[in-house]
This record gives sequence, C-alpha cells and structure tokens, in this order.
Amino acid sequence: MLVLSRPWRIIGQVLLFSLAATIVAPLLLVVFTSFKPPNEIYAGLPWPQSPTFQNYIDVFEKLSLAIYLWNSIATTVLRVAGQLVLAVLAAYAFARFQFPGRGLLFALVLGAMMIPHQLTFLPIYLMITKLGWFDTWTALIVPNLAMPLAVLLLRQHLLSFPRELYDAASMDGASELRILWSVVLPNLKPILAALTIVLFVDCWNEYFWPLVVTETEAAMTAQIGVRRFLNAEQGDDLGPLMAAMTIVSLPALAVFLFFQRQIIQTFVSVGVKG
Amino acid sequence: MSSVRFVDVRKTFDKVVAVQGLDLSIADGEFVVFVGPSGCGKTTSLRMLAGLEEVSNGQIWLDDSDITRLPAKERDMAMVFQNYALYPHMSVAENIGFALTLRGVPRGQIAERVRKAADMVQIGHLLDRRPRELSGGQKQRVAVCRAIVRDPKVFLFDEPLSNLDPQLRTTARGEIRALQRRLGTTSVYVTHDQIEAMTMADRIVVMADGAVQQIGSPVDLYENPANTFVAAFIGAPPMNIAPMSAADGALRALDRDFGRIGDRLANACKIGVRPESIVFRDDAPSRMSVSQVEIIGAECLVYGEADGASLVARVERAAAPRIGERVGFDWPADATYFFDAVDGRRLHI
Repeated sequence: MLVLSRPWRIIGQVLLFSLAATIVAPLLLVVFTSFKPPNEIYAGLPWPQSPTFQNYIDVFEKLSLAIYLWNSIATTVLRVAGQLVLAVLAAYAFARFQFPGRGLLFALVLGAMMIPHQLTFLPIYLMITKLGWFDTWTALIVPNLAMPLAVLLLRQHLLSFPRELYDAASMDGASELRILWSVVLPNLKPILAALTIVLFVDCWNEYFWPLVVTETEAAMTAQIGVRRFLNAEQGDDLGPLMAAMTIVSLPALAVFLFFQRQIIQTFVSVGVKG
Repeated sequence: MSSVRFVDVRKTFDKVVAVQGLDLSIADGEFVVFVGPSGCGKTTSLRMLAGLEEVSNGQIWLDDSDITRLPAKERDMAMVFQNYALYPHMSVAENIGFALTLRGVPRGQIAERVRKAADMVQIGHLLDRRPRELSGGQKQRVAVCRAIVRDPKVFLFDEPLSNLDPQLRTTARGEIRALQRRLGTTSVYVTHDQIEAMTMADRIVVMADGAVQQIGSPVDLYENPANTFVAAFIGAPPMNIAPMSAADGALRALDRDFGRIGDRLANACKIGVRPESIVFRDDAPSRMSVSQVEIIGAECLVYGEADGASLVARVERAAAPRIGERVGFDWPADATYFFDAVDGRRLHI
C-alpha cells in the first residue's frame, strides 16, 4: 500500500477538500437560497437570516410541480427499468451465445455510443410526431430504451461469470431464461445497482430531449417545469426556483443513497465464487 | 437402470480434434473413470455425455434413447464440477434443492429430500450456510449432495477432488465410491490422477491426444498395458521403459540379453519393467548406479541409471542400497514387457 509522507498527505487533503468544496458549495447555496425571503435573495450572506418555507409553498401553489414530478418519476422509472431489461438480455446473449454475426452486431452496439444525440434527435423527433407520440410519456421513454453503455458494461461483467454456474444450472434442468433469472441476475446485483444510479441520474437530469418533445403538463418533466420561474421580462423568481430545484434534486439523491452500498460492493468485489 | 453407449463419438474445435472416435459401453451401475493428462479429451467426452458440449460426429445413447442432440436439462444426469459450481447467492439447502424446485416438486417434499440427502453425506448441519462460509471439503460434499438428491440416471464427476488436500482426497474418494455402490447409479468420473482412477473404477478408460489408449479394469491395465503410454501412466511410480539394442542377432537391454525375439530383430523394441518387480542382488548381471533414495514409509523408491536408461525401483526399506552405490539388480523374466519402439504398442512375445 502506498503511504504518503505527512506534507504530501496534507497537500492531498487540502486539494481534495477544495475539490469537494467546489462541488458542495453551489449545492448549499441553492438550498440556503430556497429558505430565504425575497428581500434576502440578493443579500451578501449565503445563508438565510430569517428562514422561511414560503418558497416551497409558492412552488406548489404557482406551479404544477407535483404533476411534473410525477411525470419525471414515472418516465424515469419506466425508462431505467426498460433500459436495464433490454441491456441485460442483450448482454446475456452477447456473452453467452455463439451466433453468426455476433461480432458485427456488438460492434454496431458499440458504434451507437459514438453517435452524438444532436445528430439523431431530429429524425427521431420527426418519427415521434408522425407516430403521434409528441407530448406523451412514450416520447420520453421509447427512443431512449437502448443503452449501449449498459450493454457493454454488463457484457464485460458476464464474460467473467463462471461458466460452471451456467453448466450447473443447465444440468439442474434450468432453461436459459431461468438461468438468467435465478442464477445470473442475483449475482449481478452490484453492477445493476451501479448502472441503475448512472441511468437514473442520466435520465433524471435530462433537459434537451424533454424540452423538445413535451409541451404541456401531460408529459412535461420537473426539469423543464421549473423553468417557469425564469422570466426574462419580470425577473427570475429565484426563491421558488431554488426551492423547486432542491425538491427536484431529492429523488436522484435518494436513489443514490439507496444504491450506494451496492456500488461500493461493486468496486471492492472480487468476483463471483462458487 | 441406465446404461450409456458412445458410438464413434468425435469432437472437433475448429481444426483441433479433441476426441476422435470414442466407442464405449457403460453398463448399468458401473463406475467408469476417464483418466489421462491435460488436453487428452476426457473432460470433453464427459461434457458431451452431459449435453454441455455438442457432439461433432457419432452418437450417444442412454439406455435405448439416442440423446446425442438432447439438451443437458433433459438428460436426467447430475454433475459434480471441479470447482463445485455452487450458486453463491443460495444457501446450501437452496443449492441442493434447486433442481427439485425446477421440476416443480412440492416444497415439503423438497425439504424432506434435501434433509435426507444431506444426512447421507453428513452435511445436515450446514443447510443454512452460504457456499462462501464452507471449507473446500464441505463444498465438495454439498456438490455431491446436489447430485444425489435428484436420483438421476447417471452421475458425472469432473475432477471433483482435485481442489482438496491429499488427506481429504483419500477420504473423499472412498466416500464417493461407497455412496455410488449404495445407490447403484451409473457413474462416469474424470480425473488426471491415476491413483484415483485405480482405487475407484470398475473400469478405466485411458485417453491421450483425444484417443482411447485402453479400456479395462484397474488390474487389467496394470498387468496388461496396451502400450507404453498406458504402462507409464498406470502405476506409481510408472513402469520403467528402457531401449533395447541389437547386437549379433540378439536383443539386449538393461545389461540383460534377451536372445532372438521372434522376427523383431530388425525393428527396435523397448522393454518395460515395473519398479516393484525389481530386486537388488549382488550376483545379478544388471548394474544400477543409485542417485537417489526416497523413503515413502515401509518402502523406498530407489532412483538410478542402468545401461544408459533412467530407472526406479520400489523395494523394502531394509533392501534399499545407499546413494552412490553401484548395485546389481534383477527382475522375474515374466515381469518383462516388450513394446514396439516406433508406435509404443505392446508386443506379446
């Protein structure tokens, strides 16, 4: 194990602390501002002197935040679940079966990762409108179900899965789907938890695509909804905006806290042992 | 009641021939051991029988059914793997009962059968543990238990003892054999350890380079090896194989004259002598320079060189010469084996 001398340790700690501060400080500023009354918003002190919940009350009174949140949560959960199901099935097939064109197909999956969204959004948008999916949950979920990164990570993980466990399950009489469900998936919990966080945060924070394909409360997500507090003519309503942002951040934080133990296990995992 | 038949079974991986033309009939209740060095095709043969490897050519029969193309899950065979392949997320009881769960056996019956099988291999106290909480020997017992709980038609063992320490291995092989005798289930066992093969098998199939070298009972293989490979593989230490030289129309090896041997004068032969056939005697014509003596209990292994060939003798400790000595040695004439020097085939002279 690498042991640093005391001066280097101090330098390292200062650097890490500074780095952490640059990440935490803006978050704290958002949270503090959300508790400030209007007259303190632009005051010098970062924390509120007369804390108030008024901004949070305003958020729900002035904005259909509950509906936006429901849209966000539902579409994110459905999308992440769909992404995981598809990725697990594809990764299992790529890792376990020999079939003609396997290499080419996998190369295509990897190739899909290289294509930026900005290139594909217009044709997909046109397709969505022709299918009548504009301003629906379907528009938010379906075009994003295929996740090449998840397929790649899961496939690599499955390649190191002990072959004897597949064989033992086959000998026990399990079908391929049963092997996947009863033997493979329970041992993929750490990587699935890590992927869930990555996919959830990626989907939850998505701004561009929901902005393009949603218009009304029927499908508009919270991330787009909070924009309503931004007003170029009358000035931004910063207090409720910060309160809305704080609320909107909570689900992602909750998912992270819920799955973080599994993530840590992924990094310290030494593989599956029979 | 299950018999197994391999009919001209071949397996190729791209251009590599893993198993070439395996023909073998295994009787109901028989314990057959495939033995050979790494890469000889023994595990591939077992996996083809299990249905885990496709057969390139030939047929495999289970009783009167051609199972060549039948998936593993439909063959009703159970396998014990080299690293046990226990499901890490399941308890011991769940591991053992998994196959029964898949067959839709009622939960109460599963628990009863698991308990009964676990008691049979003395792991009843481990049923709630996870595989990571078990020692190697315990894992091996769980793997055996998982195989017997289903009451399959055939047991398959893929080097199940190779991860155990030598002492445990000796106990385990006795237990497996006793269990198989009690259950009377047809068994195919793969190992690279010839002692395991000799001590457990009703019949041994010796393989090398994908081909069967000889099939026979342990005693048969020991006493009548078909070629130099079997002669050198079966027996511990292996048979001494020494070259022969032809001089004045007679053959000679290890300082001993064998006279004319049929019409083999022109062809070079080799002779084989089991280490345990050798006795040290001062008046013997053959001389051996002793380079090493290993005590293995009541007996000694004496290594040395005679007539340009390396030699090992297994003698009682009291009869062992000292290192550096040059001693006379002899062996009974009927304990001499003759082999063709070119293809290694046994010559019956």
